Amino acid sequence: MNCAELLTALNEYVDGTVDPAICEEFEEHMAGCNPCRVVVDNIRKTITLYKEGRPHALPVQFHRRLHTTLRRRWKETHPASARPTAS
Amino acid sequence: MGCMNNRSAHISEFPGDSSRRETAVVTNSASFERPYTLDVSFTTSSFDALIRDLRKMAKPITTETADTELVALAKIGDLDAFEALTNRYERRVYSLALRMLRQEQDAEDVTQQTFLSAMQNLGGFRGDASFSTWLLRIASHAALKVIRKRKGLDTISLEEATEETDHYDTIPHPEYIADWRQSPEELVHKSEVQRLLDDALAKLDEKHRLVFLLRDVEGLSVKEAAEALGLSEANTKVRLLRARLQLREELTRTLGDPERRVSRTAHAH
Repeated sequence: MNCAELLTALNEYVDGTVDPAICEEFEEHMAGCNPCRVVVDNIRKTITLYKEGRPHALPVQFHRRLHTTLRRRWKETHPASARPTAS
Repeated sequence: MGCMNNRSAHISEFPGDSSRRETAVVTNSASFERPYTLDVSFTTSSFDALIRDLRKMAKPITTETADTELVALAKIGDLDAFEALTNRYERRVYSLALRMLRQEQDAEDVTQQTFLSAMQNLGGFRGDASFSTWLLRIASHAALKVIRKRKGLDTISLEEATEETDHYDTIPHPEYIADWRQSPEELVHKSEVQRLLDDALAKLDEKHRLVFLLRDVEGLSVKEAAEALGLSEANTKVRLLRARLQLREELTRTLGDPERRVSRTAHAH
């Protein structure tokens, strides 16, 4: 497997969706090529970091405005809503 | 990892995250697929039954209350339940919008639009996808609409009339190659790492950033991301690869262990 072929299969390999035959070629290549092994590992960790990253906090004023707007709209569209309360 | 087991999960799921309490990573061929609920998919009658039970029980809402319960309560007019869902997911929606739009006011507008739309369309939500997936799809569509408007485009495609095609042979090869000093689990809690992630994303061209956000962060399939962006699947894949490699490069320059840096010329071919 040459460089160009490796690059075109890299997404699928990282995602675990690559054809098993290509996967084997990939693994064979990586067994003998430390830079590629490290790059693949780096990519996996990069994706994990972004997936698991903590989301941004809402600006305080916006958070208040958002909830006020939602409550107002809710009451406009649910005039008779009443939650059964725990006794 | 054997090739026959190439379908095993390649990313870790962090335990104890309460917003994903009722989900689990499902190991399948799309290893990076978004976690989704393992509950049975709710049919109309399932929601009706749940609603009847909830009416009888009238349990107080807590941070532990499952999404499906909150959705069922909201459907019958419980504002507290809808607010609980908003509190649970507003940061994720805002983060996605901010990363896509790179502008706070626009991100706020999209966030508000998203929850208003969810409120309006809650009656039609049947639980085929998880609530969070449904919500984030609404958010990404709203953000894409803003991007199209910025470019003065009427059509679905974010490209000009001719789709600008990326090519594999123009993708820069990795330069800085080194194992990272710490694992993602250790890194993710650090605020300086969050800043690093944002800075690296900001350096991507918008067309690469959008594909990465939709596919890798929000878990759309390549097909879904391509459709949302009005691109071919082939072009979406190339852009995804470019985004992944560029982010890897940026992050590794900071997070990589310089003592273990590998020379690119050591690459087998």
